Amino acid sequence: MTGSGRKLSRCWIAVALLAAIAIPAVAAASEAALPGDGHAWWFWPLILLVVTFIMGIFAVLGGVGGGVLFVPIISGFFPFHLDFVRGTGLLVALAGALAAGPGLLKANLASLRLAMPVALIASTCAIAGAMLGLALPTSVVQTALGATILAICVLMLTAKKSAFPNVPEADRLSSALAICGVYYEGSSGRKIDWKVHRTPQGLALFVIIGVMAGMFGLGAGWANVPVLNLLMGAPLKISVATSKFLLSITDTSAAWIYMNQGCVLPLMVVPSLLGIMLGSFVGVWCLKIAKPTFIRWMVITILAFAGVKALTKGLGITFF
Amino acid sequence: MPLRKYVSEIAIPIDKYAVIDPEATLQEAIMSLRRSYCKMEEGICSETGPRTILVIDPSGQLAGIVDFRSLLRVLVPEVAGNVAERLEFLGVSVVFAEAGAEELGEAKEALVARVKNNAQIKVKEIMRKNKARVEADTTLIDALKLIFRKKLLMLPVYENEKLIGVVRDADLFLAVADIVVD
Repeated sequence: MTGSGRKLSRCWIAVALLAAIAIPAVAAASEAALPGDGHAWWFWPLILLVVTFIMGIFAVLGGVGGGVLFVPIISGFFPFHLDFVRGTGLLVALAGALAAGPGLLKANLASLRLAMPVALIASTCAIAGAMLGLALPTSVVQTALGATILAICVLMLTAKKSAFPNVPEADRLSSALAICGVYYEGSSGRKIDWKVHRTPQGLALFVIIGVMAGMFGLGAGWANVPVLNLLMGAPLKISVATSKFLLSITDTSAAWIYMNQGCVLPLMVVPSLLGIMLGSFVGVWCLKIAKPTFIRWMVITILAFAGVKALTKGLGITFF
Repeated sequence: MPLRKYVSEIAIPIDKYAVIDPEATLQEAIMSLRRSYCKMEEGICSETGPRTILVIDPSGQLAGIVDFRSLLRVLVPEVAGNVAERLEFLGVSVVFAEAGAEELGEAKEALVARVKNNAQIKVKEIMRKNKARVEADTTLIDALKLIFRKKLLMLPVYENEKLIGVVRDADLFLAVADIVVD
């Protein structure tokens, strides 16, 4: 067996072992216990730490944000109220964005010119979304969350990405706001000049994205990237990096609302955040060895399952 | 007895050592280091060239020292930097992986551009202070003690408060090696 093969095996064995330990523990704990039912204070934080660690690994391997997996899975299969899960989900997405932000800016991949107008709209709408999400009955939010998750699955299966979209001419709004730039493309060793078009349509979509980000606490990379890349025509790398940087602004706005309403519990946030971040780093390490495509399918399936669970939970139907 | 010699006898004269102005960029510092390391015009490369650059201010005083490690830490922070810097660039890879982007190692791909960009930082921003000095009539054994005690790579040599040269750990090693060879 080659060196990389051995590393790969060790990596998968470690992930499988963790999953084998965590899944039965969570299943048993969810069935038998509710918070405050006599378990020691560290019981649920520990379970969250282990589950989110695995989630972080799978998120990176599956090509989705940790926040997108966190909210539907934790709200669907754990006995926590949705408000606490959404608050935690926002902080999980926020932490990832804040951690990567400086590196993305230094590498000149996240564009401030592109992010600022979008952030203004998206963060305002995220505040509105957070307030709306907390005002609406939980069952309504859970149903909408389920529908959104299923839509994300469809988006993941169908949306194409374009490394360098063709932008014949910058529109008037983007010209006025000077939304353009240059970045160094390492794979070809060229400097890429980029500009955007369809800015008004893009900004209008960020109204909806902002509301959803605030309402569900999902993070919004899954929506930001297609809009920036496919609709507005920003290069893929710029879209991905700007989207992540954007989250650090929009999610901060929404997080304040959740924090102000007492929906951010450190005992949930700290282990979840640590678990997802450590898991992501391990995921990247695994990804450097190999990229198994079945993991992406598995993640989409799990996400779809969690979406159906959220939908049925919201509608009061008990299937599983 | 080789170690009874004075440092002035083995020191590299200051006009032959790599020196730079505090306002210069790291790129200029690296070029200065390369010139003294490898006399390209003569086609001769030295394997024990200077591993440090002396930062000399306009008044001729030694303002600081820049060494390989401090240069690499700034040029390639994701590899040679502190834990926070390395995690920062690992975070960049996480972002691209989470987005399902084909190209992973963003930090690695944009490396050339970033190293060039980082080389524009000024020398005065990264230089460290000189921790010790020796007088021209210091013996090699005392210089050796100082280098070990302070964990240094080189010592500036002064005569009448004027910087006249540099004695490196390599020069001291070769002086000790002479005992073995003789």
